[in-house]
Amino acid sequence: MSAERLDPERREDLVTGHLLGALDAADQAEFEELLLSGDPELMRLLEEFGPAADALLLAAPGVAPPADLKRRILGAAGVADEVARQDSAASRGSSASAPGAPIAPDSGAPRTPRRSDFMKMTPRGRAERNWVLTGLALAAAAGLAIVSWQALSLNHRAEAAAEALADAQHTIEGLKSELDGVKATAARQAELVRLLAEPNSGLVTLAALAPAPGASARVLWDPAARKGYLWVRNLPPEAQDKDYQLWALAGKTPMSAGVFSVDQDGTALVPLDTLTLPPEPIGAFAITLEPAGGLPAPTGAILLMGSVAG
Amino acid sequence: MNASWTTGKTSASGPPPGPGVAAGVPTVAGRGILLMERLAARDDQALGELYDLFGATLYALALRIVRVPGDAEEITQEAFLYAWERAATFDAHRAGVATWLGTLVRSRAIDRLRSQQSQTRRRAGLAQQVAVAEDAPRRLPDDEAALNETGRQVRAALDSLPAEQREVLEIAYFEGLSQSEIAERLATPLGTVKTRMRQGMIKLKTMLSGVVGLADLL
Repeated sequence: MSAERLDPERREDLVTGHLLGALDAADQAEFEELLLSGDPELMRLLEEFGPAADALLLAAPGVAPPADLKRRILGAAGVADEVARQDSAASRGSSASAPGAPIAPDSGAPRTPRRSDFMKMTPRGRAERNWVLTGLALAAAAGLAIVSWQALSLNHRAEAAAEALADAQHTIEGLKSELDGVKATAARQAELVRLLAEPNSGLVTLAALAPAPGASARVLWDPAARKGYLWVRNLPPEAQDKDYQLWALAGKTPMSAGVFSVDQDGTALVPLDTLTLPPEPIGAFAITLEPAGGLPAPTGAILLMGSVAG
Repeated sequence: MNASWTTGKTSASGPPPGPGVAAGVPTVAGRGILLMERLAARDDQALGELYDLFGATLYALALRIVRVPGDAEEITQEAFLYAWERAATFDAHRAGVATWLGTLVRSRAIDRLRSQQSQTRRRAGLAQQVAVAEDAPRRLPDDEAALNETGRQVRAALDSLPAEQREVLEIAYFEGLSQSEIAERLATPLGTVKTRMRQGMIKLKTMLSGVVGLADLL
């Protein structure tokens, strides 16, 4: 449907559904088509409803995250030094101890060991050192786990992106194909208009004969350019081993102008420049049913026939 | 559209810089943009500050969707790591930082919600969620307090919608179901679902236009 004729409520349906990510595929395609067309009303509605949809992210009940989540995120990002600085600052701020005194463990998550801690160790601190080394090993294992998790996460994101890209490419191919079809139709219609405007063109009506009652056909034909179109209606779909064949009668001799098929509803629109018109002046057109691929001379009964005027 | 909705976002995203400044003080949205610029410049401290600003909001959003604290933590972490790794791709002209991160979290949370692995854990996690909510520290910075207050107003607006409209909006936003899936779940005609969604959003938009400072947050 064109944007001008779109019902205002329908446009609102599309915008609100899109902003909530709830449109089904067909509606999403319609929305995207409108968006690509630059529909100003759609743009206005997107701007108008956008903040309300954005605000929904604040609608979740307030729940504070675990105390150590920030530390885990910073650690995974490789900016643990920043955490250490914060720890240090917090410890200095909360303790009245003299400079150089051991830092009391805080009430939060464990602190990252620093090089200076090892420098201060005494022999009686071996047990503590072992404990610290064990802690380091555990931290290294945790780091490895985080890196592995990150790799998995990246893989997952890459796969999701690849899927989205494939979907988008599929959609683009479908739209290209649709566009090609629209272009071909437009070109055919332009050619028809040109033919109709051509002073030498003529319209030949082919009358149905007994074997095909109810069928009809017309040829819009420019004798000078030897181009035209053949319309056919109500011919029964041909069997697989058969083709309809158009004949051009030059004098009394039928000459093949090519073969064609009809749709399931018995219609066909065939550009005559894709068929082979004989060079001789044409007096009439006829259609027969012949073996698939056609024959040099007709063998089937004439189904439709009409003479070229004048 | 209420002018107060656009003022903050426009000033937050439009050149020249001066992002999201209200009465000489950067708004939450404006500070978010500045933090993203620092992240892009690989400023280590910016990530922690960004977490302080939006961490609780994003975690709450993730938890509301997946309902499993462990999953919500992973999703929140993924979002901040994404911001850290891809800060340079952030475009303030397209969305505010909260909206950008919120979209990331919602998208990942809904993906998680749909994944098979998470089903069992979700059932087991409901009780745990209550425990976390009760034990959670409430010592929030001023910015988060502002976000919480605005969040309260957004929830109030949502709660004041007719139940059938609120239900459709919540299922779409927090569960990621399409309109036809919602219609199937509620055994309601598709057209009715679309109408409820449209009418609910119209009312929500009207009510939220009166929330002062909303645009300064998103």
